[in-house]
Amino acid sequence: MPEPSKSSTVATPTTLTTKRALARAGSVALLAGVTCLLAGVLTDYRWLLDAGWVAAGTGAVWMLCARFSRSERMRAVHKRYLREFFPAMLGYVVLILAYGALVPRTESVAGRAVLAILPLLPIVLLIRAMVRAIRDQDELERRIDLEAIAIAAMSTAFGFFSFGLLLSAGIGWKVAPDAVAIWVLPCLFGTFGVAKLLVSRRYRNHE
Amino acid sequence: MNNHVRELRGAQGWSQADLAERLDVSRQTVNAIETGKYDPSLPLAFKIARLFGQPIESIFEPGE
Repeated sequence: MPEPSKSSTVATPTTLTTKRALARAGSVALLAGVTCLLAGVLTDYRWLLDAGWVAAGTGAVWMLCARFSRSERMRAVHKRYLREFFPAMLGYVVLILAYGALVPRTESVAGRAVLAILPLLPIVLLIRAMVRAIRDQDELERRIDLEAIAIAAMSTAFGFFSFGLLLSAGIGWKVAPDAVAIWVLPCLFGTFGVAKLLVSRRYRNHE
Repeated sequence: MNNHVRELRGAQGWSQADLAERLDVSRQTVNAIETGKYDPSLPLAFKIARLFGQPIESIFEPGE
């Protein structure tokens, strides 16, 4: 029988834990968001303000999650996910910023279309990272994630469908179509976060 | 399904995190199995049985 060895699971100051990873990522996103907001105020670019609010909000949520998460050693599958997720997300943010900065100065329709489609390239890498993480995590983690994704996908899809019905029912709301399309992704991620929290609670007990 | 994973782990002096690392699963998964909130798949159940050196039916038994 193997001897108990607790030293391997104790988080030392250099061990990457879920709590530390969330806190670090949250502070970077918050800092980036505040920088974008300041730049938006100084330069009067509306898209910088929007990007700043999204980044700062995401950072604040991650830091809040870090506050309530346990200080547990991060497993190899999740470390790999972070190694693949952050470069892809950085590429996406850079291309979105390039879109916001260059589209108003681009005359050609084809050029504007390319700028709009270009951010999809890092998204392919992002999808690959997510699929690899879902495949390689343990069976309960996979079940929780898949249930949460199903709930988030259905709620977001039918939520937006009902919202569309409300708009077409002529109840007096005026919403720009591009704003509706842009909010699908944040709503999907937000709903996934809440759904994951609720699904995880089903498998928790007195610890 | 009922199981004796908590007792077997306690007898070894392992924490949930220690057992999770040995099984290559998360601590949350070990906790869910011990508290009966989640029934492991056959491969994971066999892995647990092999780790504790006991037959699978002596660790897991059908619930009422």
